[in-house]
Amino acid sequence: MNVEIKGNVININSPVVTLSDVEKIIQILRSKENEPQIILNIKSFSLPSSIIGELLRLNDQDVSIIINVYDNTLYELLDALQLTKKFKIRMV
Amino acid sequence: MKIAILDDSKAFLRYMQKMLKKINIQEIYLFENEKEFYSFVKNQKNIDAVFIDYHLKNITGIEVLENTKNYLQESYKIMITSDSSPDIKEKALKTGFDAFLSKDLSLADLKALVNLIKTLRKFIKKEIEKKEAFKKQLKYKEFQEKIIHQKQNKIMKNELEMFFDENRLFETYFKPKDMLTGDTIYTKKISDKNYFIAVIDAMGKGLGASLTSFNALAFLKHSINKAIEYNDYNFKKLVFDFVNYIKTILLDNEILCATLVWIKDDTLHYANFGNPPIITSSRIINSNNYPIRINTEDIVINTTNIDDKILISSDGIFESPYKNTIYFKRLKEIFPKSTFLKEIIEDFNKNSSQTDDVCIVHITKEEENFETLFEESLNLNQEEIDRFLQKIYIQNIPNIDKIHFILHEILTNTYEHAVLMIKNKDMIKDKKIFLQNRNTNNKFFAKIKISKNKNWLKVEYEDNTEGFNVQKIKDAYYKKYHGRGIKIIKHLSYGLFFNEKGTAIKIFLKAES
Repeated sequence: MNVEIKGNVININSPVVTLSDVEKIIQILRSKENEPQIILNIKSFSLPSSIIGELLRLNDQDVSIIINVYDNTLYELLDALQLTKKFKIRMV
Repeated sequence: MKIAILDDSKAFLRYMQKMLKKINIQEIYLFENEKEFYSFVKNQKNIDAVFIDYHLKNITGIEVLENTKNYLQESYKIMITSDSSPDIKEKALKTGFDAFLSKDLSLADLKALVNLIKTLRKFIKKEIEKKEAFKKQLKYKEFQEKIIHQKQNKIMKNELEMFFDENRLFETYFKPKDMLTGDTIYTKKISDKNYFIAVIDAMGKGLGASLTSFNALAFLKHSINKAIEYNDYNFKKLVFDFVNYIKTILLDNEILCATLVWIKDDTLHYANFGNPPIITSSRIINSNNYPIRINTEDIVINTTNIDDKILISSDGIFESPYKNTIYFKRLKEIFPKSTFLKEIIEDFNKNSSQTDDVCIVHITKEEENFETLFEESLNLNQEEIDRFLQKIYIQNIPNIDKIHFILHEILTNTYEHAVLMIKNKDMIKDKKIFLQNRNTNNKFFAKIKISKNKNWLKVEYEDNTEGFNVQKIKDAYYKKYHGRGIKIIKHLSYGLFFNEKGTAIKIFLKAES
């Protein structure tokens, strides 16, 4: 999995395939929990529920979450999970 | 009244203060620079009016309002200016100023302006109070809705929701139109190939109908649980007891529709009291009883052979609009062509609109002729799961990205809850427990099979753990931010089914990419 971190911007540039990939992203998110805002650029088709759970936890701690999604199916899924407004999600 | 004035002229501030005191305004706040003014408006509530000079040292009054207007939405905003340029005034109005005041104003002018502000503020305060009261009501309603939905799901406990047995797939759908629903579903596995289903619709709206419906359901639930406990389940006795009980709780003009179904092996026994027909793959089986009233006497129970597909429903979906008629017409067309309930719901959402509570039970015989595309067993430890997920991701199978995402969710859930025994996600944060369990050499394994027929891809999962708590998973599905894994799988697939123990799952996706 190819993940880039630039300050509070996290670029997930390839599919999230394994449980280890998920753990890695969760650790990155936890290292950013004192940021007022996190921007995620997701080029993966999938965003496993464990990562969504971590984003919700951060959001509860007043961390603003902005997600740029590159896949329409993922956008529809996040919308179905009623997350497009809770996080600021936009389709790129 | 609370008034704030921003002007870099001390002399003007003193002049304004003197004039305002003359007209009995006591709460006056004076600012010579914009930074102090910003800090004041950010931390103060209920400022009645602000006076902002246009020509400040470092900034214009328009820019000051631009930076503070979010905090001054309900305040009256006056720009102090000797500049009569129409362009500036136009810009000031666009920014949100309500009035202009010249520096050479008279006491009478100021008094008139203050009187106007007082009148407007009275009106605004009333509006704010109304808004606050409405917000409180809304919050209370949301809280009540949450409790009611939790209670409804707790009472209903649909055992056959997302359930499969040897050859049948069961689905239920419950979507109330209002907070208080008159429709309820109850489904129960009595023993192997032996099931009870009830769809109840209390006529009327609101609390009365809801109380009747849930009371009826509670009677059935308790009666069946006791019958199973004492090993004396008898459908005919249950139907007669049910009607007699309902008669004791109905008001004079109240009626209750209900479909009670008992499926035993390949036979379907039913008593339908005024609900829409039971639709099967070959027949439409009309109601065999009138709706239940306080004077109901005759009760009919019929028996028929079971078809490949059955749909039992309240009138919600049947009577919703479809073109110039009702959705029942459309349902008759699409039911024979569909396999899973999600196909019907998708069509309903596309071609109709919900006008009443919707309750549906859908049973289908599992299709055959599936050809195996992939099959593998794996040990349930993280290294093996990672290896498996990497392998499955590169398989040349239609919809493999969706299948991979689904299996990722299942394996994560199994690994965290059934293998590591993490009961709560917060425990993962306690690394000691997490790693301690993670290193345990377990002997859990899973079998995964992907197969395909003409229309459907089937993903089958089975493990030797103690199993998911299926009821907890179903309950989480109805909570706003819980049950994300199951919501993801349901969104990506057309059918999701668990066995009774929660150790096996069947998922169906459309065969095309």
